Parts: sequence; C-alpha cells; structure tokens
Amino acid sequence: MNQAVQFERAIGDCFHLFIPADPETEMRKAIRDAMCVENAVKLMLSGGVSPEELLEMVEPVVVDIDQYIEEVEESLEEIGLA
Amino acid sequence: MAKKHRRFGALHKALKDTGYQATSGPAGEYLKFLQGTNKIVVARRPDSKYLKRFNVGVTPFDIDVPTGANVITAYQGLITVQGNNILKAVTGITDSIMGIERDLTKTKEVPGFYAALAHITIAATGQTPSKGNKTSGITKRAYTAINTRTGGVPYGRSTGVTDSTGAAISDLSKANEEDSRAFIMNAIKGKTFGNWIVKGATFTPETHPESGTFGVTLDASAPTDIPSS
Repeated sequence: MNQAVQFERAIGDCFHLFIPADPETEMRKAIRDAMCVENAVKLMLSGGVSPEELLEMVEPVVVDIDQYIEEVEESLEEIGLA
Repeated sequence: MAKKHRRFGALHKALKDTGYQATSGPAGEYLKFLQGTNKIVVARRPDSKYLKRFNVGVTPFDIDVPTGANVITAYQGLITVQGNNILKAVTGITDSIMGIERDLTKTKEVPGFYAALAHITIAATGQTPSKGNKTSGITKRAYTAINTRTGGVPYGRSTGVTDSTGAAISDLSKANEEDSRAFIMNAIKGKTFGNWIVKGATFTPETHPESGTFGVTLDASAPTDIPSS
C-alpha cells in the first residue's frame, strides 16, 4: 500500500465519527452526519481548511464537540501523532 | 461556538509558561514525551497472524459501473484476517451485504485504489472497567475505557442491501454508499455472539488513483446530458 495514502487514511480515520450499534441509534442520520464529517476531513487533509475551520464545519453534526475533540486526540495518540 | 481549547494546545502553552522546564504534572509528562522518555505503548496488539492481509474484490461506489457479459466490476481491496474473522462471526452481515467477491479471477487490480472499509468494533461482554483503568502514554493521565477489538472489512456496491425505502437494489449501478452503510449498521445493531457484543463502527471512504492528482481529463465517452429527475 502506498505509504502516503495509508498515512492520510489513518489520520482521516482519527477524525471520523464512531456510529454506535445501539438499537436506539437513528442510523440514516448518524451515517449522514458521519459522511458530512468525512467530507470536511477530506477537505482539511487536502489543505482546503484548517483544523479550526474543520471544527466549525463539523460542529452542527457532532453532538458534543468537546468530547469529539477528546476522541480525536485519543485516536491520534494511538497512532503516535498527538 | 463551543469551547475548542485543544488539550495539547493547552499543554504546549503550559509547557511554554514554564520555559520548557516542567518536570511534573501533565506539562512535565508531555515534555518527557517530546524528549522521548515517555513512549506510547500499543497494548494488546493482535498477534501478527491476525494482521495478515489478503485480497478480496469490491465494486467501487465512485465509478461508472460497466455492464455486459462477463464484465469485471470488482476492484481488489485488502482485508486482514481479524477483519475477515469479525465479518464471519457477526451474524447479520455477509459477503453479499458487503459486496465482497472472493473469486479473484472475477476482480481486477487497480493500482492506487483502496476499498472503503467498515471498521467494526466488538467488545467482550461483562467488562466493568474501574475508573481510570488506562493511562495516557503522553500525559500519564488516567482515563477509563473497555478493551475492544476492531476489524476493517471492505465494502462496495451490493445488490444484497436495500435502499432508504426498503426496496431491493435492482443492479449495481443503482447501489450507493449511504444505503450500504445503513444496511450494514442496521444489520449489526444490538448483535451479540459468543461472549462478544458489537459496539459500533466507523467508516473509511474509498480512495481512487486520481484523488489529489491533477491532469485528469474528461473521458471522451462521458455523457453530455443531464440525468432526468
């Protein structure tokens, strides 16, 4: 696998939303929200927006932005980038 | 706007305020991380036999699906043994739902293509982690989490899923990623097997060779009309 692509996908995954498999989850909405975040992350990784602007973009679809930031940081930490 | 102070941004500031001389607390531990004393240790890394990867085929979402007799639509992607084992173990999802083709003679290799992945996370049932049972490798702060396993399963266009109205997908050209994701998530929702419970999933979109490159010209065979509504 191309290392640059692998790296980009690994970083992108750190920002992607986790969709709980709970029976209460409204899947279509959760999936649309996740795809919205993925598009914003793709834009950030291509240099189109800054990380701060990314947070502005995803805030409407992320339930708790502070918890989201914590989870992103934990994920980045797991791959050694925090 | 909600508070957006980045934890590590704050750590940088705290460290700077000490003149990069902090010896204890989160800032001190962070400095030790920067100096290489504190290291991140990936615990519970699966044995290498579970990380071995092999090929399967999926029909990408972001292509014009070719039609015709014996035409090959599936591009080769990679799956780990762990991902494959989770796919096989979780009731409700199948190769058909994921759009997986295992006969590689019915697939083609397209350099630069990386299949979309559903990272399905499972956890052993009955875990009751004590508060602060894990420690950050960077700040040495304690946090609470249960142990999980995650497997990345490639997925692509599938006629084994339904659309948003519940109707069957008649052919691959009608399939779309949102329908596949919704079907996969509804299929694994609330599922348990053995002493495992499915916790959820994240998704990685597929990557194409032309992503991020310039000089891709319009295909001469591209349609010039606008599809009717």
